[in-house]
Amino acid sequence: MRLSTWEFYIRETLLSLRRNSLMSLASISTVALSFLILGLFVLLVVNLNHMADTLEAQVEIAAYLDSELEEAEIARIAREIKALPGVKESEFVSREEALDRLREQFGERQDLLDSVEEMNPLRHSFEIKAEEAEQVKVVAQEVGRIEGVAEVKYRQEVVERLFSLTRSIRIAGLVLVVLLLMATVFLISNTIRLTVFARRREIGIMKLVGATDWFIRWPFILEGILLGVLGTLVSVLILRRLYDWVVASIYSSLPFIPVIPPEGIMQPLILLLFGLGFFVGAFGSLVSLRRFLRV
Amino acid sequence: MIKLCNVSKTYPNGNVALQDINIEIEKGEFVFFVGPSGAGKSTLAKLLLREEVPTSGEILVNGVNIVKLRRHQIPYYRRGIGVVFQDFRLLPEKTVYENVAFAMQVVEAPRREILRQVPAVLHLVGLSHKSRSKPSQLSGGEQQRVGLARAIVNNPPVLLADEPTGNLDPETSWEIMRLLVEINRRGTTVIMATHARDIVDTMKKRVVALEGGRIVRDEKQGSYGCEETKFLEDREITSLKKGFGLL
Repeated sequence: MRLSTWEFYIRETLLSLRRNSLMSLASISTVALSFLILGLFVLLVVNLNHMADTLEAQVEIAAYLDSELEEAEIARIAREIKALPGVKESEFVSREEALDRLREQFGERQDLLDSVEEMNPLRHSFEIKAEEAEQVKVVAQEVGRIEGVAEVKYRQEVVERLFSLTRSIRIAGLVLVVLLLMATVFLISNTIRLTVFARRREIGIMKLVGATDWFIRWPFILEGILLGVLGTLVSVLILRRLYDWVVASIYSSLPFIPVIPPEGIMQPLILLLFGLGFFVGAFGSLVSLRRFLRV
Repeated sequence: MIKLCNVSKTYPNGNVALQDINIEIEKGEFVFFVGPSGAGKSTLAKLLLREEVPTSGEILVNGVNIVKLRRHQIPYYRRGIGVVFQDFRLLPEKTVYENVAFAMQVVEAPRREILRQVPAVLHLVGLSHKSRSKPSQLSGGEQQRVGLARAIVNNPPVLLADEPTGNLDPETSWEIMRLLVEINRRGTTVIMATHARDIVDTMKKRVVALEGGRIVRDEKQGSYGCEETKFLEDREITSLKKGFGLL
């Protein structure tokens, strides 16, 4: 197709946009709003995921050793644990230390433990942290196989509950995203439909003069894309400011919350949103054209 | 060049618009279709433009049965027929120049061609001085002249005029008729549907009279053999284009 034909399309598109400027503006703002909500939700879900992951990984595995082990043995076990893939760190807790911790927990009633001190029934243990939440189970199994390790415990139900929580968040997020996208497509297609309807006379004349269907379609499609992209642009600008501010606030007041910094997530999110805006615009136009091009 | 063979058209609502029409129109002719309202003139125009298809019968244009045209081929066929309407049908937001140039942009003519043809055609209809005006700023006669310019700017072999003088006063009507005659003189086949009897009677061209969907008078009663001389595939577009001198 000729370059000049594309110039024609672009000029027609801009003309149409200007002619229906009020409606275009309404469209753009509503797309912007939709994508703003979409973007915020994505950020929320991704952050929640990230937090859940971090929490899970912090779940400790406790490996209790056999009693009556020599120091050399204990050292060997320490090495083997550290050598396991997926082990982030491990800490040796002697039975004495374990008892002390217990005392602390008992607090005022420490005296109850005095009689126990003679024959400390607690065992030596290692406290192990896994690198990632998914690996906790596997690491626990591997540790259990090491000679000298009597028992391995971890808060299984906590891990699993976190897992299912993350999954539910992900699914809910996906559903919401799909709904929002559908709403945006519908919105753009509605705007274009009004434009098409307003110009049906013109389209009729175009057909009689011998314009092909695609020749008629392109300006409308471009218009839809333009609306989508402009709406996305507005939402992206707001989103960026907003997230920067939120992250900064959290850093200063609640620093222990593992929030994802903007550099890590903004770029791909923005790209994704623009891509969506583009396709939603194009698709919305095509949908409404299909119903009205039957002149 | 144009043949209608046993063409009938009944609309879904039961209205019988045309019955058993047989006509042959040669290249370069000037033909009037006359008749009262509802006689079937508009339907005939729509059939020729492939806006509607006949309920039965064939319509051969340059040997190609246009009834068998597929949807995506129709625009190319229509580029061979310039149309002028009673209500002008100009694009209100475009200037005179743009309205005429539009017909060329639609067929993706090169810009240089457009720059050459449009002023030439505007000159022919006598509207060069109004290139930048919008339709709303023009009189009825001027608007129709723009319509005419648009219809011929691509040099179509056929010009179809559907009641072109319907909205015009007698004097302006004659201006249009003069232009039509000139266009016909230059080789374009002109088909005009009208119920302006005075124009028809004065001009002494071939007249086909319609009444109640049938032809009641036609000076030219030839034989109406209706064999398809070409069969339709996409390469028929090429033959159509060749026949229409568009290649």
